[in-house]
Amino acid sequence: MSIDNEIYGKYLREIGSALRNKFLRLALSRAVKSYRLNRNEAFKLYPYIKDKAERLREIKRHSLKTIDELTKRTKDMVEDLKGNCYLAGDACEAVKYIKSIVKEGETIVKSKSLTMEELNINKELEEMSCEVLETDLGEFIVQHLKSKPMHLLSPAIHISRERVAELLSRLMEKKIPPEIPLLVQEVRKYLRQKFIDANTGLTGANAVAAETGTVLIIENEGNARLVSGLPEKHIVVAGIEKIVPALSDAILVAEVTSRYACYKAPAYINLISGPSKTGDIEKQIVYGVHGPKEFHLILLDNGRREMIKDPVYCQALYCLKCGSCLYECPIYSLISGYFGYVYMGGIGAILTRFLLGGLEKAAPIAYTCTLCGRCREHCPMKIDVPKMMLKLREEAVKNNIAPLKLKENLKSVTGIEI
Amino acid sequence: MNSILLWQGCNYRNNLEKELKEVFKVLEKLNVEFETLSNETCCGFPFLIGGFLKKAKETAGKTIEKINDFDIVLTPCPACQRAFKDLYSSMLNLQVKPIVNHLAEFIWRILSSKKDGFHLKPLRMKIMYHDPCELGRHMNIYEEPRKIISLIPSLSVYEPRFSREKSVCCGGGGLLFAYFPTLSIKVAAKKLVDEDKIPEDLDAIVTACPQCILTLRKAVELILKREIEVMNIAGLLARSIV
Ligand code: SF4
Repeated sequence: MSIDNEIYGKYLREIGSALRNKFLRLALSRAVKSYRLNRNEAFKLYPYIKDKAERLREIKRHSLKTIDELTKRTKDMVEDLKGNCYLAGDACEAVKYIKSIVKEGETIVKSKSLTMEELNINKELEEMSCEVLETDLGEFIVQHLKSKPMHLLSPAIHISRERVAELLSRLMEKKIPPEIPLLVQEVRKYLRQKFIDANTGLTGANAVAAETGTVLIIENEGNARLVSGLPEKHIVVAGIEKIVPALSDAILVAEVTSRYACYKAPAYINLISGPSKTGDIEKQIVYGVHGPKEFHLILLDNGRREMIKDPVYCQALYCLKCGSCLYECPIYSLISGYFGYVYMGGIGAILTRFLLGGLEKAAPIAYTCTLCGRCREHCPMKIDVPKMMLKLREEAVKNNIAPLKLKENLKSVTGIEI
Repeated sequence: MNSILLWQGCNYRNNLEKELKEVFKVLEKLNVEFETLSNETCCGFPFLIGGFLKKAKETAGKTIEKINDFDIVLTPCPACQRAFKDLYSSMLNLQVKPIVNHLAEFIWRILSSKKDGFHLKPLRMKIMYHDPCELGRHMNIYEEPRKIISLIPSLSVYEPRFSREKSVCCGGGGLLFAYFPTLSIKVAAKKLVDEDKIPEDLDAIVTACPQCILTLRKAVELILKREIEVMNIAGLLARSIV
């Protein structure tokens, strides 16, 4: 197979079949519609959110500039609270660390985290005979259907209730009708015992406050509280770009992220600083009470420092993963996560290049972007995706992997050979 | 007097000859004296945004030699305009001497300066103006085309729910039309139907970018299968100006 076919062939074929998928189109247009409705309401209720977003952008910019200092401060503080903080240079190091904490055959519950995808951790832990369970409803469905998450916040955006009912009927060995509230109840029942049995909980983080060593997790379903609260061990994997100086900055992240993700208020904002503790008997501090006994924060580099150093790509790390740009992208709103690799959409192309997949996975995304700039208008962080796309294309050309078909077609349009 | 060059752009020269004639007609009606180049070639824009910077530099260098003797370069293509005004300098570190205008800016300047010097006859039709990404979001030109349109009597204008900086892309940008036309055209169809929600009685879509014309036209023909004209703003004006 030619390199060109390897890089672009399968990707384009998948898009072709997504374009023919009537159901996907319907599901997406419903999602976009309700997203816009909710967003308009949320923006009406909190008109000052744009100013807050601007302030946050400044904080993010500054945090990346002082990342070494902030990382150190976070580590010191977490350790002071009797938690563990590990600085992982790459995905391998992070995986090794997690494997040193988890024991063979454990039950592990996870809440949704894109950063964790960089580690491919499910496969690694399954090799240790662990049972790994996604607990976010969408992720749970996607995991059991062996499908691919198609949205940052609603991974199962492309799957119908009928398919979910089929899946659960199989899993629970009884007939479950395709009624959404019922389906949700069944998953709740199924996972309840798993939460209790689990030895380790794995989560990501929306923000990390250096000053207090606090991890912030936004969620609606309540699964992240259980994942981070019930098992003996809680492991957090967070990219270093999630660190902000103070707790109030982390709260600002929560506010801006949820508004742009269209929640008036997310059901839960979890704030976690170290393991659970008590001093109630003779003022002697004991760690591990009702919550976890062990708390591990893994701060992951895995390409981020390289991004921070680059004046153009660096702003991709301001991304809050709010998903606002995706719904308003002309390509994503037509074919969902097929426009992307694990990280999706325009911004996903840049994250793919540095964090997971590399240039060869990023190039097809970059060349199927119309560079229209609509994402920039909707992004709370005003991330200039088109500008970064141009740089990705430039890199693809330099590495001799620009699409052959494009070169041919450009020749026939311009009369100039490339 | 200022020397004016009409830079036509590949898309107009190769694919939109009729539309190009309308541009000529409007400029003549407005008594604009201008020249065109018999040796006009690609400005390099596709190479710039395709990542082919070496080729872009070569092409841009040749282009600058050809256009630098003029005082004003006028173009109906916002991509060429953006190359001259922005990308040459920001991506290639090359400077263009003449003042560069998009046709819509230029025409509006003339129309607004000699209000009585021309006559516009009424056009009884319903149109929608589509903001091209290159002209709008990338060059910040939203008003001039609308002002030109507003001068034409009897015209009914449908403003879609997303316009100006929130306008939805036609799907042809970023070389997608050259690379994956099927995807482009589907984006265009979705834009017109689901996003712009174009009304049943729409007669024409007016825009100011050759790529938008080509992409939207294909979608109207192949997917919407409707009799809606897709035209350049100069084409609209050509019909009205006497
Ligand atoms: S790029 Fe901007 S809009 Fe898109 S997910 Fe990130 S923060 Fe949200």
